[in-house]
Amino acid sequence: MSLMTAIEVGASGLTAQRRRLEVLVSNLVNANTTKPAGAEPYRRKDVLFAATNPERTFGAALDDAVQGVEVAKIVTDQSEPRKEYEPNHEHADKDGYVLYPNVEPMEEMVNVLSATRSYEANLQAVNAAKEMAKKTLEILR
Amino acid sequence: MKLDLFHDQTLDAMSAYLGRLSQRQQVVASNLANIDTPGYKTRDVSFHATMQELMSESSPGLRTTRSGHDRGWSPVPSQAQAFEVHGIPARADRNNVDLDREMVKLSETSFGYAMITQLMRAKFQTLAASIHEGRSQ
Repeated sequence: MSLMTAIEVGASGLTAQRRRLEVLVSNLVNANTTKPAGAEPYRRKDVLFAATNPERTFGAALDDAVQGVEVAKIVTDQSEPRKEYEPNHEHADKDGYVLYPNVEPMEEMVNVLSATRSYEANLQAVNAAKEMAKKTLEILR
Repeated sequence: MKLDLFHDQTLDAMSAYLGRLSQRQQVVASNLANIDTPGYKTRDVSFHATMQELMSESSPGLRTTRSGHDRGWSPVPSQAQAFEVHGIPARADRNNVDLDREMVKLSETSFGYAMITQLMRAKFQTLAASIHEGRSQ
């Protein structure tokens, strides 16, 4: 039944956005994580989405027009870490600099908002499909 | 008045429309799921072309050999062609899904679906009424 495909596609969107949120939260919590001098500091991560084809049931999918989504890979932001002069810090190098992760909390918050909105939009789509399926059942009531 | 339960043109048209609406719902769900997918382009299914085809006098019905034959209802293609929507500005990642547009489509689809199912219900209630009235005599 094609409404089930709509729900399935919406669910793939929910999963993907939740995964993205997890990654973003991991960036936020590690915004101030330092490591001993010489070690690679934490680098911010982001997800890369890719469209997928849903499972075909009774030819329900419209060729390739209806596509779900998945997290294709998690990419690491290779920009330079933030360098701060804190000679008394335990993780300072010999010149007194500490490497902080390349995470901008403000930027991450904006991304978190964007993920939340996208999640809500997918939820709306799932709910709408559910309501429609319910309406179908009501025809003969 | 002739009442043919199984070849009711109104019911056929309504179920064809419901089919289209659920396809539209799938496409909107797909657009929303891929709102952050780089390179994804907004898609839609055509409504007007299908309905015009369905409603036109020239649509191919059954071939009749006698005047008493019912011309029948033209078969409705069960799948509409989906197409990419042009004219929506793309973002830097070449994705052009517009959240507002999709939400409007979502409401339209749900509303249309609710309306048609309500009408179908009314149709069947009419039939049920005639069945029950007949029995009570």
